[in-house]
Amino acid sequence: MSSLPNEFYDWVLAELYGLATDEQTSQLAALLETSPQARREYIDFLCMYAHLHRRKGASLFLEGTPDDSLLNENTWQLLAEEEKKAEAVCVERSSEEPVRAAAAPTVSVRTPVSKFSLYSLLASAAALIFLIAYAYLSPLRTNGVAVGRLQRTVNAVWRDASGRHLSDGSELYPGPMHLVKGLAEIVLEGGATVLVEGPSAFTLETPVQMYLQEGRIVASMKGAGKQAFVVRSPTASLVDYGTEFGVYVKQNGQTETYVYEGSVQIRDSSDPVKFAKSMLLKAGQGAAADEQGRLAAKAVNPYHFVRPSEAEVFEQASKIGGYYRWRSWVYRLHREDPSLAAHYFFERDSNNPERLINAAGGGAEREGVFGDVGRDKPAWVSGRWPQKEAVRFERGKNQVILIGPQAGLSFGSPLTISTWVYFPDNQHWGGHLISCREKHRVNYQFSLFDDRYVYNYQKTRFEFRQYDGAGKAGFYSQPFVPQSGVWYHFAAVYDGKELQIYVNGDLFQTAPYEGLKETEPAEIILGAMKIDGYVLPEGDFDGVVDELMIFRRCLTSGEIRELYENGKP
Amino acid sequence: MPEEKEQNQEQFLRLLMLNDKRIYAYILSFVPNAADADDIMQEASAVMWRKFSSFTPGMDFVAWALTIARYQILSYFKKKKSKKLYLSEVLAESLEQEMVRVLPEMDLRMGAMKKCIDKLAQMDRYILKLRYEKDLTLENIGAHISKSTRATYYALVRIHRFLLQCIRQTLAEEAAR
Repeated sequence: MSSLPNEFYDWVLAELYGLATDEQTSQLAALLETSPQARREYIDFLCMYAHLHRRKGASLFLEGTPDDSLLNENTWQLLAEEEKKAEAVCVERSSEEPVRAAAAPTVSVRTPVSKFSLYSLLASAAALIFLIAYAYLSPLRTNGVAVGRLQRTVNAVWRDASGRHLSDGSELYPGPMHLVKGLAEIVLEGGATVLVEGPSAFTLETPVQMYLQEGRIVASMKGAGKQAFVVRSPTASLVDYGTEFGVYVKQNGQTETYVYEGSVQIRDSSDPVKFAKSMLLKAGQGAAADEQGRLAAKAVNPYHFVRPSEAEVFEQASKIGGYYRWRSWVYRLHREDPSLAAHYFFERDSNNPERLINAAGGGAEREGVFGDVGRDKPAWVSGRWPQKEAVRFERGKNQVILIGPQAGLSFGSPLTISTWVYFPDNQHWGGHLISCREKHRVNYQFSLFDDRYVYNYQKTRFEFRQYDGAGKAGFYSQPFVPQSGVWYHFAAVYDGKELQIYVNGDLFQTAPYEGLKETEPAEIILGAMKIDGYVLPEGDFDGVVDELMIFRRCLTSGEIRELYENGKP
Repeated sequence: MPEEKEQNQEQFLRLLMLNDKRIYAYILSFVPNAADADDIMQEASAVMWRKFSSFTPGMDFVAWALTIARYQILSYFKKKKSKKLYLSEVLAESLEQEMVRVLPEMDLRMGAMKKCIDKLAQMDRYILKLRYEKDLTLENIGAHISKSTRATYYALVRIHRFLLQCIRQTLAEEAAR
């Protein structure tokens, strides 16, 4: 147990740095005079300081062995001083005339070279190379100290001089940067990892602070030091203490944030020190600052950001394709298409496997729940790719996924439903896929019935139906019998007057259809049919569903083709 | 003879590099002000180079270098009369003895220090890097890490204290193996 005063280390360091007051100096001297322990501690401190201080110009952290490193700055300083004082050396001038290379015959002649001249030349060249290298590599460069480094990039394109010489591993200095497209992962000296998604304009200010003028980032401070990491925007600042959060700054300065882990404080000023109001956000919460910096809670879509752990998806998209191509494409879709009301992408939540994630955002209310009172739960199975999962519904088992009544999902037109399905069995397949209904009021219903269904006019046909209880008929397509063991993309597009059915990106059928003029919030049901207590097991969906999208607009045939091309296995 | 001179130079540099920190620590035990110790170290190194012809293989380079350094320390005190930290002769002798006792362990301490640096929080390592690799002033370090000069200084005190305790513990653990 140390009996030294707490100030002891302060006194010693102040003495070494030349900052000690007279009082500190005399207190230290007095302690050293009287305490053998202080003397031992003092000598140990000096030894440690000698190790640290004499590293100037050499790395403290990267070397392999203690003292076999490159000459440090001090040694070179000494050599330089000695060189200045060194006596001049007389070198005899050769009496021979130089041979002009151009006029020389083709036979090469080996000219004897003085060893001394060679050594001098080598020594001079080595010194010159060292000086150039040292001037370049020296951390004492006048253009500042690196605040971080570029960890990795994925298809990154930088604008102007900001990124001209950037490559993975480059040191980054304070200053503005503009990522036009792609991803850039930056590790700051303060411990934060920042994944920037292009297009983004930002400035690295210090190892613990950056300014995001426009664009998207996700900052992660897991396991880092205690000092806060700050992201400033034109209207707000975000202060984080060891967590992960996304920030999106729009062109007009509006700032949105979402907290993945830990907690973050959003402040209503670009200056993190001078602010009037703040909000503490916890994991799963989002908030926004408007153009005037006014703060409000907001359901920000967590899937609107690329997290550092997901950067690999983009890295592999161009190399491998397949799952990564689809995944990186839907990331873009989430950002670029505000009409995407729901995207059940069937990626399992490992913490809650009975939750169907809606990657289009809108909060937990738009997410699905496996099963219901008196009804069973479908099972997770393999999806279109080995990395992907899907849900298997089996007929006769009354399996459903339910999404509670939501005004944002209960509309009649314009509407597009897009889904990927797979039928393992050619004896019984298809059925009721999705409906948004409340008792006998159906906002929309989309099915493909097999030849075992109870009504002949519906067998082997696509059904699209809107129904208000007053007897509106559904639309039934021409017959379509899918093959078993093959993935299919189906889409229904309805503008209020005409319906289009697509299969694998191609238009299968189009027909006029008059549906509902008005809708009311209603539950969405996937899988087994549920008609106000009436059970119709022949209509239960039998097959695997991998993805389901609901758009609040009519997608063009080109867009449907794009859905298919980017999603096909 | 240029070749001989080069060999001498190479040998001198090698020995100086190997023992640079020992000599510097020794100087610090008399002059615990880094700027002054730097000046003495520079002067002492220059004298060592000039006198290196008197150094013969088999001699103890550290003992030889410390003798030269001691002369330079005395010369420094004569030139610069106002010594900031006044050490009585008894205390100076005691500190010198203590220092000479630990000098052979310097490499072990360096190894332990590297392990301890790895245990520091990333921000603390960065502060250390700015101070000792980049040679920045406290004020400049503060600007880089958004802290006041005073806060930066106390962060350095804390870091040094942690390192010192960690080095001691690491050495003790290694000795116990």
